[in-house]
Amino acid sequence: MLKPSAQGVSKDSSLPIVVFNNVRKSFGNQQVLRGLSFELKRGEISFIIGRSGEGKSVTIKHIIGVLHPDSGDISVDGVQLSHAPETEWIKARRQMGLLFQDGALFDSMSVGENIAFPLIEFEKLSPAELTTRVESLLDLVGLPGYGNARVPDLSIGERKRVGLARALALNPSLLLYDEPTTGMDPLISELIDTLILEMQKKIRGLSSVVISHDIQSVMQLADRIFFLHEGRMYASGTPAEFRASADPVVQQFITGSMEGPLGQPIS
Amino acid sequence: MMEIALSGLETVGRMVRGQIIGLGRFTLLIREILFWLVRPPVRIQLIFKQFEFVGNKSLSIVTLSSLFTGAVLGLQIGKIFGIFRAEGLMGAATGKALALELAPVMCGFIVTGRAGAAMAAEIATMRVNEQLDAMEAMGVSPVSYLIVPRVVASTLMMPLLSAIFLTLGLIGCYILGVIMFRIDTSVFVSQLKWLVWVSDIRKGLAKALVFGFILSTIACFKGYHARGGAKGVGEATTQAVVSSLLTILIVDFFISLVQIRG
Repeated sequence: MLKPSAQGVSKDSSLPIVVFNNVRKSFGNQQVLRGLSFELKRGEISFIIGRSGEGKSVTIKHIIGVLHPDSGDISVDGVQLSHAPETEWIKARRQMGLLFQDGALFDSMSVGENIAFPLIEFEKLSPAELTTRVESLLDLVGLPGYGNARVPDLSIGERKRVGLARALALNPSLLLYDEPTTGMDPLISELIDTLILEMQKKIRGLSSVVISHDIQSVMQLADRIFFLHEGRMYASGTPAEFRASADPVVQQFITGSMEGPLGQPIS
Repeated sequence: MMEIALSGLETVGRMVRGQIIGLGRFTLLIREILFWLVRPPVRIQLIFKQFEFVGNKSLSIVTLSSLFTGAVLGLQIGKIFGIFRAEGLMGAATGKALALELAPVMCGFIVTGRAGAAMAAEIATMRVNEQLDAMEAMGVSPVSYLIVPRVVASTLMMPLLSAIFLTLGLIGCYILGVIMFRIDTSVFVSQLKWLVWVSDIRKGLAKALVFGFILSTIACFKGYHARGGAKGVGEATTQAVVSSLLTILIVDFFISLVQIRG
């Protein structure tokens, strides 16, 4: 059964990897998150879906601590972080990997240097070990031999794959994907989907959070879906529960229908 | 009438609020810079890269502008002093002006225009392209990685550039004095020694140090808080240059006041 939005969620014994409790965030006069509450289970692939501008990327940036809430609590891996000092966030972030929408690669560095960046910062590796790690990560994302390539010369798909390799560099326990397949051709989308599943299988206990508009990917990969609507968690459940949902808002969104309570995209 | 007054008050209030928020953010950034300044990792390689960027790459423009600034200052002073038959003092007067004011202020302007603008633009581009977010997401502080090396390099390079500016400015003045006013070298040097003291040079270098810190922190601050695509990058760069130049002039006045009273 599809669960309605849970307000005031409390920590339970299953130790969720991420807990949001009544999180609010505004930018100027624009309220983006309006009391967002949810729990992401450990070891699962969780998809956060919702219309554009509903605050999905803002949510993911709160998980990683790039943005901080105006009010409400955020816990990651059992640690209360919403009001923690930056040093605590820095420690927490080393356990996380984030793939940004367009990769967010450092364009002053080569592809190899981008992937090596977190390894140089946090792991004491010899130059030979570093090269081997970078090459294996490039192999993993299907870009062998791209180490010396310049970032501006890459296509958007290649940028995302390099971004994924960089996000995986430190073997994170929480991997966040911000619209990984947006703007990609079907083959690359399929590759990224496969990579998400592969990572989940290869790394024991890995939790993945994916923001996506790609309903096909969502239904195929998700262990659990979280539907963000009007700055709150409107509904959550498994893909089967979403398919079976009688809620007209959920149905309109997952079927992409022009008619329904969400209105037409332009309106 | 009442509505217009209220609207005016609201605008003023909003402006004041904006300025206070900006000042608060700037103070927080300075606090974070000081925090990372004394905390590992010390990014020696990045600091040396910035030494090269701020110092070495500013050298040609500092050389050219100092020679001509010294020469034109010498020309004007020589012309005026000529009325009193005191052309011999032109080197000393130019040296005093260069040591105390022109070398640090002009260097501040040059480094702001060349390096400060580039710093603001680079960091702003990284902000709008989410590269700073990516850095933070990896647990690396952009302040530690990007801003501290730039601030350290600018603060330490400015006195050096200022000293070069002073030396070359005097050479420019000397060449002009010898050619146009036929001043004797020994007179030029003796008057210079008489009027320009070591303490003047020290005061000028101290100013350059402060200006280096100011221009780099303002440039990095404007870039760090940039918003909204290419337009935001342009605005951040313009604001960085304008704010740095004005702040340098204002701070220069207050430092001079303290130095004169001290």
